[in-house]
Order: sequence, then structure tokens, then C-alpha cells
Amino acid sequence: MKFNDLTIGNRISGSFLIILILLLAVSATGIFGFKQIVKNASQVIQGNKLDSILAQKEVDHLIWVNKVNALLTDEKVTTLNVQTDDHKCGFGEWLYGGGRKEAEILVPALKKSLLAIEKPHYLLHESAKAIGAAYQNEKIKGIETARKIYSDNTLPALTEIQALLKDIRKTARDHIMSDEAMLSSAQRSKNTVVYLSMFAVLAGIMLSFLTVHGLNNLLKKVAEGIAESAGQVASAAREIAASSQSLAENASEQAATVEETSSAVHEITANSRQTSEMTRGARELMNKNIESSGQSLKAIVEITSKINQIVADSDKIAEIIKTIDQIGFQTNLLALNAAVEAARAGEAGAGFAVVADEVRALAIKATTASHSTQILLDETILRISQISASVGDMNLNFEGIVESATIIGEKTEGITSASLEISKGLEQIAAATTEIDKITQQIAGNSEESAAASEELSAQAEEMGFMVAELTRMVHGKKYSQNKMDQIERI
Amino acid sequence: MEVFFEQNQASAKFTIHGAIDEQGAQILKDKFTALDKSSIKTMIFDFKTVTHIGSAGIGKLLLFYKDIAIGGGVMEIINVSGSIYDLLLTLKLNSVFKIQQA
Repeated sequence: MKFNDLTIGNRISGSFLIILILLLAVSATGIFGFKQIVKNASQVIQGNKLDSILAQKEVDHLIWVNKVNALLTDEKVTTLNVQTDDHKCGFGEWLYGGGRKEAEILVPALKKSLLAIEKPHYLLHESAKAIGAAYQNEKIKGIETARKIYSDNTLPALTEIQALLKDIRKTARDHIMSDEAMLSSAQRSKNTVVYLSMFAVLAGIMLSFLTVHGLNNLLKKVAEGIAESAGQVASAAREIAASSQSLAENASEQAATVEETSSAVHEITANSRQTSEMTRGARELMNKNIESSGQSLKAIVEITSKINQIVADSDKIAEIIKTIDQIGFQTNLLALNAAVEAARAGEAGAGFAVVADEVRALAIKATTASHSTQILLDETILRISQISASVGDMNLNFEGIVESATIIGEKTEGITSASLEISKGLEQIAAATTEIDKITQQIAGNSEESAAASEELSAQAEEMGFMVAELTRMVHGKKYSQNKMDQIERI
Repeated sequence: MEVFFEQNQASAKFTIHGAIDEQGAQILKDKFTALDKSSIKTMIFDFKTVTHIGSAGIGKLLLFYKDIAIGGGVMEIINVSGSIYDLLLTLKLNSVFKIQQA
């Protein structure tokens, strides 16, 4: 990943982290160096102290031996005034006390030499005891004996102790850091800290430069981008405000129109519902009409059948009338014959002549009646024929009426269905119109809110421009910022 | 709508398929008018596969009845399904001609 690809937070955090690590490294190196110097110094001090103690112990033993020697060589010295207990002399207290333990901790290699020195040290002090005893017991020979002990025991023990002490001091010096070594080590520590500090400072400067330079470039680009965006937002906000205002006005006008439309649709819906109710009544009427038509047709069929029967019967009546007429004619002829015969019979046939006249009169009446009946029958037949024709016409007309009525019924049924569909559709349109009315009013309200929001957005865009100028001032300085402000004001 | 006609001496039968709406009623009337009804004494309409009948169809049935009855014949509607049967009974046409339920 490149440095330029990192986020601002990562860049700053990374730079601070690296500087912090370097600072920690410098501090750790310094602390470690100081600790090492202190440790070395402590070791040198302890070493020097041990060396001085051992040198002092060597001197003490020389003094101790001189005192022993004074007893043997100086007549004025008559008593052996030295410590004869090897645990209670200065070196003995050190050798069998805490001093030896500290020395062994400081230089573990001293253990062997310190153990080796115990015996000659013991023999040295034992020789003093022997010298003292010899000196006290036999004055003249005792001195000789004491001198012999001094030369045979004391001096060799002293020589061995001195050699061991030299060896111990040499071992101590070999294992304990010298002043020069300590100084050299301190110098190295100082140099390490100095070089590391210089590196840390240089690295910090370089990282700071890279971070600041990168941030400056980034902030510059961001500021320019925000300034451009702020200008575009301000421009767009003004356009939106204008559009929203226009939309609000149009929506208000549309709301009024929709309200009028809604009112009209509701009125049409009510009319349509009424029409549907009316056509629904028409269906019931049509059913009754069909029912009545069926019964009427049945009656017409019966009437037609009966008229045909009457017509058929009228021919029979005419036959009967004709028969009656023939009977009357023949009766009349018979009456005439009877009258002729009665006239021939003379006086005897006078009564018969009267009867014959009566019969003839009846025959004439019957013939007349039959003629009248025939005329009446002819008139009746004529009328029935006319009725039949009328019934036929009525049949045809009724047939037309039934056909037309039922077709109208069919169409009315269709109209009823269509009317119901229209009514449902209109109710849906009315509901939709009401909804549109609400939405339009809502749009009008929203548009006004949108216009207000756009104006607020425009103000915020202007505010953002000032913030960009402030940001630019922070990045580039006051002069550049002034130019940027002028650009924003022009936008 | 489809109409099939068959005649057996004095008995004739129309078998109707589909809905007898205004157009179907006119088709039925045209078929009926074209018949020579002089020899027909029994006119049967089979409604087994009739799905709907409107006012125009019922009107035509009444006219067919009249033509048949005036000629001394009888008319019968057979295999009438539930809803159509109920309608014809509501209109009391069973008192005009014979109606047989499916």
C-alpha cells in the first residue's frame, strides 16, 4: 500500500506511531545505557572498595607482623599486643563475616582463593600464639624459640597470605570493570543514544513533512472539491426552490381542478347508481311481461283454436239452416199441394185447406226465419272472419311485441350489467379522485416544504462555502483564502 | 352458440349448445322459421348443454310455442339445468309448455 493511499487518520496515526516507537527506542536505549553506566559504576566502586579493603588487610597484617617482630627485636616491647584469634582480627572478621560473602557475590571466582587463604591466616595467628607462649615461659631461650617460630611459621604464612591477597586482588581486578572500561562503555551508550536521537529527529522531521505535505495536498483538493460542490449545491438548491414553488402553485391549481372533478364524478356516480336501480326494476317488469306474454299467447292460441272451431261449426249451422230452408220450401210445396187437394175436395176439404194455409204460412215463416238465420249466420261468420283476421293481426302484432319486448329486455339486461359495471367503475374513479385530491394537496404541501428546504439548503451551501474558505485559509493562508471567498461569492 | 336439428316423422328436436343470448336467439329463430312445420306435431328443445338464456331467447321460445300450438302441436323443453329451470319456473312457462328438468 502506498503512503498516498492511506487515510488521514492512518497517516497521522502511523506517523505518530513511528515517532513514538523511535522515541521509545531512544528512551529505552538511554535508560538501558544509564542503567548500564550505573551498574558499571557500582561494580567499579565495589571493586575499588574490595581492592582497598584487601590492600588495607595486607597492610594490617604487615603491621601485625611488625608488632610481633618488635617483641622479638625491641627490648622495650615486652608483651605481644596483637590479635591472636584468626576470626577476630580485622581480616578475620571480614573473611568470616559479610564482607567475604559480598566479595564472592561480586566476583564468584574469588571463592577458591578466599578458601585457600583461610589456612595460612590461621597458621599466622597460631604462630603468634606460639611466639607469645614461648616468650612468656622462657625469657632467653624463649626469644630464640619465638624467633625460630617467627622465621619458620610466621613469615612463611605471611608470605603465603600476601601472595594469596595479591592473587585475590588480581582476580578481582580481572573480573571487575576498570574505570577506563566503564568510561568507554558510558561513551558507547552516549553515542548510541545520540545517534538514535538524531535518527529519530530526522525520521520525525521527514514523516512530519510527508504527513503535512500530504494533508495539505489532500485538504486543498477536498477544499476545492467542497467549494465546487457547494457552488453546485447552491445553484441546484435555487433551481429546486424555484421548481418546488412552481410545483406548489401548479399543485394548488390542480387540487382545485381535482376537487371539482371529484364533485362531478360523485354526482355522476349517484346518477349511475340511480340508473342501475331503475334498470334493475326493468328486469322485474320484463319477467312479469314474459309471464303475462306466455299466458296471453296461451290464451291467443286457445282463442284462435276456438274461432277456428266456430268457423268450422258455422258451416254445419249453414247446412242445418239450408236443410231447414229446404224443409220449409218442401213444406210450402206440400202446403200448396194440400191446398190444391183441399180445393179439389171442396166442402170436405175446407178445414184441411185452412190447415194447409197454416202449414204454408208456417213454412213461409220457417223459410223466412231460415233466411234470416242464414243472413245472421253469414254476418256472424263475416264478423268471426273479421275477428279471426283481427286475432291473426293481433297475433302478428303480439308476436312482434313479444319479440321486441324480449329483445329490449335482453338489451336492458345488458344495460343493467353495463350500468352496474359503470357504477362500480365510477365509484372506483370517485375513490381514486378523492385519493388524487388528497395526494395533490399533499404534493402542494410537500412542494412548499421542499421549496423551504431548498432555500435552507442554499443557505447551508453558502455556509459550507465559508467553511471551505476557512479550511483553505488554514491550509494556504489568508491571501489564497480571500481569493477563494471571492470565487464563492461569485458563485 | 351451436344448434343441431333432427326430425323423426312428426317429432322434431333442436339440440342447443352454449348461451342463448340475443344473437343466439336470432340464429334459433332463423332455424325454426326455415322449418316445414306442417308435419311436426311434437317440437322438442334439448337444453342439456345450454349455459345461459336471456329474455330474447325466452321470447323466441314463446313464439315457437305459439306457432306449434296453433298448428295443434305440442312443445317440450328437456334436460333443463338448475338455474335455467328455476328461471323458466319463475316466469311460469311450465304452465305454457312442458319443461323437463335435467
